Amino acid sequence: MALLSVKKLNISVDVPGGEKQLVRDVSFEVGKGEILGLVGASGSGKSLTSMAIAHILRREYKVSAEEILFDKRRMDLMSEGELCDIRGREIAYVFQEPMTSLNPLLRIGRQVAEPLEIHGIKFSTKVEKTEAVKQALKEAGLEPTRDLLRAYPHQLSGGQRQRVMIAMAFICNPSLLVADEITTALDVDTTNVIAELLLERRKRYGTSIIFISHDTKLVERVSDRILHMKNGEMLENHESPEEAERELMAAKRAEEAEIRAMEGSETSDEDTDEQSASGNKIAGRDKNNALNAKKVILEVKNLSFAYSDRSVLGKVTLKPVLKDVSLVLREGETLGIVGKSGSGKSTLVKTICGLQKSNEGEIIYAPGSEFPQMVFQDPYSSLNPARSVGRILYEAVRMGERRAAMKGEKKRVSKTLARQVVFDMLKSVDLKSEIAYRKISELSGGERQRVAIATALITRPGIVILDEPVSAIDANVQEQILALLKKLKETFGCSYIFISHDPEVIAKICDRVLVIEDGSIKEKR
Amino acid sequence: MMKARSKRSTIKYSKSFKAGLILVTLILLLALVGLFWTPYDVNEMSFILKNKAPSLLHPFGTDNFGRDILSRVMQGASLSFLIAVAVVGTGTVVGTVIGALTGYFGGVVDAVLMRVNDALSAFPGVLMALVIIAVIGNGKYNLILALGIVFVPSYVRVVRGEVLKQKELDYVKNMKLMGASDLHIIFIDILPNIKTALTASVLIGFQNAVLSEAGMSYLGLGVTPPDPSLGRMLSEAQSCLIYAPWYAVAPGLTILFLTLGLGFVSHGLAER
Amino acid sequence: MKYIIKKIASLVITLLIISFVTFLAFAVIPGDAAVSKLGMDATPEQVEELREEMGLKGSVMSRYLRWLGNAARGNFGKSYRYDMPVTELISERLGATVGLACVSLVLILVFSVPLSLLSAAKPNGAVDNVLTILTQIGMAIPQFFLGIVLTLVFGILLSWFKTGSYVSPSVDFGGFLSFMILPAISVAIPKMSMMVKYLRDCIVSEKKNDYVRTAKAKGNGEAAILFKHVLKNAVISAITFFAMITAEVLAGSIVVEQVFGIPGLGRLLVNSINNRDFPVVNVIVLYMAALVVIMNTLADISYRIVDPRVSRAD
Repeated sequence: MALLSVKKLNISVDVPGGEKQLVRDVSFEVGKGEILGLVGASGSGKSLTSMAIAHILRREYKVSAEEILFDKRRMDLMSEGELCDIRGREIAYVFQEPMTSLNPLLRIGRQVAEPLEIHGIKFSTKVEKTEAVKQALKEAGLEPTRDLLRAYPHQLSGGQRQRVMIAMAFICNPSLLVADEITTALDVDTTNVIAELLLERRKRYGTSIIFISHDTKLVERVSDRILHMKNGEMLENHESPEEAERELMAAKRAEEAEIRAMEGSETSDEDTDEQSASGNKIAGRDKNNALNAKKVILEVKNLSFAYSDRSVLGKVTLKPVLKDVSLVLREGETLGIVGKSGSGKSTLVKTICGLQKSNEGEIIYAPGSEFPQMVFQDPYSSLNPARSVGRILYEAVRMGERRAAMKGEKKRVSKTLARQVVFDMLKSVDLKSEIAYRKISELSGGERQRVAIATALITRPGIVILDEPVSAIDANVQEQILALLKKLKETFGCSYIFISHDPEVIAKICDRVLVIEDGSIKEKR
Repeated sequence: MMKARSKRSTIKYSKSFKAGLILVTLILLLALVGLFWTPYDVNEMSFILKNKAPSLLHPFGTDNFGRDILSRVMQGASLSFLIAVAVVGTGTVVGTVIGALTGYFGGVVDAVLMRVNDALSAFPGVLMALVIIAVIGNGKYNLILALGIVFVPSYVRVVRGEVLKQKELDYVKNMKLMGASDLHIIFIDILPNIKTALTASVLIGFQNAVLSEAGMSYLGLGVTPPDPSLGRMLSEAQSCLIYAPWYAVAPGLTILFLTLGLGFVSHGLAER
Repeated sequence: MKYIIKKIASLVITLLIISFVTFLAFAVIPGDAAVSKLGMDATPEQVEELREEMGLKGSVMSRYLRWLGNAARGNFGKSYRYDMPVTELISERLGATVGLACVSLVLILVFSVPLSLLSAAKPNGAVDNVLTILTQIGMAIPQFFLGIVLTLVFGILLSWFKTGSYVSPSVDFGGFLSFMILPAISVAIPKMSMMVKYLRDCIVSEKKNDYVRTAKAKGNGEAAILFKHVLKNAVISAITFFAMITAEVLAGSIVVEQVFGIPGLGRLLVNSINNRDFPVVNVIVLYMAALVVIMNTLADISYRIVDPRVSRAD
């Protein structure tokens, strides 16, 4: 017989003008000593489902179920007091956020011992109790020194805090552990160690575990059985595996791409050979040769940048961000720049478009390309939320005239004409003209990014910098935006600098790729 | 240039907001009428009518000089309103300009001004206003000046903090890229985005201004005769509390309804 | 320790700035204090002599330094009006103000914590809504109107408490309390309302934190979560707020002292302003501003002590 069986679980929340169903008719079972993997995108309802088991959701969530049977008892019929007895003693939870899940004001020893106190587990002496706490910490892979017991959460690293959470969850020896994205905030090594820890625990104590993650690889490694959730519903394993499979593959690919970007340049060569079709690459090279003949519209020469860091003692040290960076951008090309976060790529583009002064080096623009425009990663914050879309674009037109005036070209179009330009631009980015009257907050992510692109292109700049333009957007919309960017480049005749951490996206759109690492260009592809 | 969207999403106002709005409107109407018309001359004294209890002729009674309390409350309320508007107006305009400029540009001026701001904030409540009144003397214009100065630091702090947050956002960088001038960015692009925070502090400021004005006038350091003032009426009412307790009711409730209404409005807005 | 020394140093500097600014403000006032004291028909020699005696000679800076030097030795000058040392005049009045402040603070502390817990127990529930309305009224009501209403109802109509003349606690402690209770309520209600609102909001937002979910998952009941976990965190975020309120209460309510005829600092301040008795005004203003600065410093220091996240290393 299963340890836990959930039948037709529903969770909803009140929203203005009705009720929003977050989890619909979810049923599943967990066997004794079984590790059940629960996979799904964020917002799929997997966390809500797991928290509904011992009813630890906040009051605003309404939970109903045909039956929640745990160890032959009806959890759904229990009073709050009875549930309190089970929580932490028989069903324990570990959550995603190790940084915030511990009480910042209580010492670690106190917090780990708390479940023992709550559930009235008595020890004859204080020393014995401390020993139990130490034992629990040891089993979670921490050295139970006196310092650790007396430490406050903020003094520990994320990995250590997560181990403390695990020690706390296991101290009453629960029969079911719910591990909700417990490794998401941790690095790869710690993730592996923690996964081992769970497996070890099951082996020694026969603990059942619900292991929730969006990391399919990890779930596959840890779990005996995997269930998929999507949009608040359980995808039955035997019913629609194809769709789930496909999604998983997509997720996996994206993830691998991410890992490759993280690992940087050392491995990227082989990876490209393996991953992207080799024909593609050759085609790219041919294009490169053709491009070499074209006019250079931007040249960056030996650019360096360092910011001064004032230490507590008042000593000023220079922290280099860019070291001797040189690059050229030719007419009509799309130049990709790949790099990890902190590699200096955002500083590079900020310097190129003049938002930041460089310490050394030179940036030469060809006539007509003096004012690069930019599309930012998050369209929501890059467009003024107080204005309508039409107003934003109109202002962009007028600003373009201001820039032209700075160069000595005077032209100011009439209001009607400017309006016409705005509506034409909306059409070019495939948006309906009525969008002009809306505010940014009323648009979808894809629409917002289209508006951002329109704002950048409306004055027909020579260079447009695209800073991770699709990484905040849903996968299916990504493709559309990339296609739109390609189309617009042809019609507007501009050049792109395309920044991304995702080699797959880069491969789709860029003619040439630079890899930046630690502030210098490591490799050209 | 673009017209506002006709089909705007309907904003739901809370009960608290509505109740507050009704209270404020009520007093505002009383004050507005009081600006142009009152049942009796506010300074018309009559020995026979001294300290009369409420009646049909004098719905809130008469005071110790036989003046009609309703008429005096109406004019007192309009004066309270005008002073509060002037005080909050001064505080908001000066505070916003200083706060926006120092927050956006930073640097030495910002650092020095913030120090001064902190020092000014060390004076509790109306103490600062008392000091200024002590220096420049009382009267309604001096009171506006004194309270106005007292109110500036809080607006500087609010606006500066908001501008500091906003200026890091990408839309500001985007505007810079487009070639917008700093002043254009500060006052045309950023300012509309901090209106929520500014509205909240304007409402709280209004409440404070009404309370401070009444308090100062009660102490005899604000509005001077012959202008009727709610605060001073209460101070007079206190001296004849035993034989004319109704005197305190009308001016007291008028202040209370006004400040309470403002409190409800700002609470309702914060809750939304 | 180093931190505390640094804090105290900055406190002293702020106080010096404030004292200079107030001194400057009263120094630039038009009119000659010596002339106004002696009357128009005093001889120039007499005026000169008095100016010398009152310390009105020399540049503002030199006068300030002289004043500061005397102040450091506990001599804050003489009142123009009462012809006695300012310190003596103030210490006479300090007792009433501090007495009122103590009774008010007790009321604030005793009521605001339980009321905010009650309010935060079920956000937007019936109790919370009623308390929200009450706190709104408490913050909106002018203190002097509250005082007048309290006097009328409890003092005159019901005669539960004494009104009239102030009784020193050393003479008759019961009489002092009976006299002080109404003024203390007038002082406490607005501050208490602010405290309840602030603390309630702190508790409500604290309850949304992840560690509260952890506490719940461990098996803590509602009350245990509130008292063992949430309350301490919420109170910490309210320290500065409480310090400000304490400072304002200790500074004394000028208005409430006026309403109830309490011979405290506030009344002295108003009278001195009306009499243009600037040495007295100067010192009282300095005292009140100093309270705010000192309470702020104490709040900062107590963060260091109670909140382990604020590093104690430096």
